[in-house]
Amino acid sequence: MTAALSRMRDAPLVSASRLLAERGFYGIIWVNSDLAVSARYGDLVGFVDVGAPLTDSLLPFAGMEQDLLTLVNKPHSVLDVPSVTIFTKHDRTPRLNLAAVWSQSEQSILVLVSRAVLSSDLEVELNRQIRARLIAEADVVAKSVELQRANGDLQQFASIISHDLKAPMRELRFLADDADTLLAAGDIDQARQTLLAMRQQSRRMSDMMSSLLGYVTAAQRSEALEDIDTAALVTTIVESLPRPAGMTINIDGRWPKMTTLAALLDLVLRNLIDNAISHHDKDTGIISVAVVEEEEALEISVTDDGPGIPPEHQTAIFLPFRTLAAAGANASSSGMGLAIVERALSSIGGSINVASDAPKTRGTSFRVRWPKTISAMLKNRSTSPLAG
Amino acid sequence: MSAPAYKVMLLGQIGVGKSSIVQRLVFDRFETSYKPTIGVDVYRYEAEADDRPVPMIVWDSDGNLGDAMFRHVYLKEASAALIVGDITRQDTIDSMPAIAAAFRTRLPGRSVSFLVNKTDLWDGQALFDAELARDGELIFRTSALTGDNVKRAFAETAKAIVRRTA
Repeated sequence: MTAALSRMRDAPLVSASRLLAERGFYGIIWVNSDLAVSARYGDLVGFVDVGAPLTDSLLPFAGMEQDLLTLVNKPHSVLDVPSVTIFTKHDRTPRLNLAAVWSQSEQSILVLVSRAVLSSDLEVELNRQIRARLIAEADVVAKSVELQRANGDLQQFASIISHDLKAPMRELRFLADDADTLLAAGDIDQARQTLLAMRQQSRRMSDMMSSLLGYVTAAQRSEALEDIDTAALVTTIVESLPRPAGMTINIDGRWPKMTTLAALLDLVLRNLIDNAISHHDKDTGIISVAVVEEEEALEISVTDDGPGIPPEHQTAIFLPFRTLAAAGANASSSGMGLAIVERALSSIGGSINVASDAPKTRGTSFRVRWPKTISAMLKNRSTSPLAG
Repeated sequence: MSAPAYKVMLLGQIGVGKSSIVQRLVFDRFETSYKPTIGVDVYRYEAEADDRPVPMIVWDSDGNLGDAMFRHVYLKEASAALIVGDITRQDTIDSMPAIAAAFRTRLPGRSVSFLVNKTDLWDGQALFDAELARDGELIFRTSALTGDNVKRAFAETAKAIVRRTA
């Protein structure tokens, strides 16, 4: 009598369970001790083949066979694999929650498969929008940094144009006025001299423009990483630079082989060594190009025994078109070499500083920090609107 | 009983193209609309190593899980990880070594590869290889759009798994 009553009370439960299974809200899989499917129930698990290994269809359990077998005779243990979508060659399941348990009464592993509750279209769309926003925000931050740098470049460029190029242009105009006056007065010889001066001034401006182009593109060029022997690179540079016979260049330290922005390193070293040669005030002298390899960077120094750079000029030398008018200084210098080096280094997260105690003592040492970490280089590189 | 399948995890930040890579790998298709993965998507794929089939179960993970992934059942018994970064988003590349380290801590000795993805959107040279290579992992510059290096990355992973389990 009691059993009959119990069956009557269970009837609605059984009926409801059947309805839910038939509507695809859940499914049950019976798994034998060989981990093969012995039976299944519910449309949601219609893709599972009876008789086949469980992991042939329930892919997320592949590799977890041992975990499934440890459930045997442990009715309170559960192996949960939530929120998975299984892709087959032609179809995909809804997002599923999988839970494997041991059934003592049936002496079988049961896998309960149910629809994951988060699968409403609204929730999926919400997630999509949140993630799209996160990505967009990260991009905005990156672009802001780029923009800030580009604005700085633009300001500096405007300053160079207005300050450094304006003077030679004005000079050109005055020379043209002079030439006009001289021609009107019939002084042909003097007019020719003035035209010659105009030609020289125009060439100088052209050189300045070329240097300026080199400067603004210093941070963008030489993207290619190469495996190089830095010892060979510095030797090649030293051998290629013209210098007085009495000028000795020593290469010191252990220059490593490394993967780096080879062309940019060439640009930096070439400019610094050339600077040391061309600003030396004697025909004899010693220049040392040395390296110390540290964990994160190469510490490179270019040291000369030239006249030195007084402290009051040590900041200005890194500005575009600034050159020291010291005795013996190279008159043909564009004043852009150190500016280009500084800009190239800052674009890859490197740095340069100068040490000199002139006029008390002779000599200058430029110290470069060249990063070995490539992503640190990339972080500091940006696309400048000046790059053309 | 069929040959055991090796579980391979696709890890990496949100939106780096993990799902696009596996869709290209398994179905040879590319969807232009972005559909974020919620939870995990699981695929079967058969790679080859030394002319032998190597069945894989590829787990395409939810990038939003972050570090929680390494405490999750999802990672259980994984044989390898392919860590994906987006070449156009530096932060996603920077995070790859840390993801590799967390995976190695949880599953020591497993194969780890780096996939620098979306190379079709990048016209410069790769600037990442040297840093990523410091840990000795395989590095592939991939494009899910064009399919470049996608199959090769999984083939090399299959070889690494076979070598380890032989």
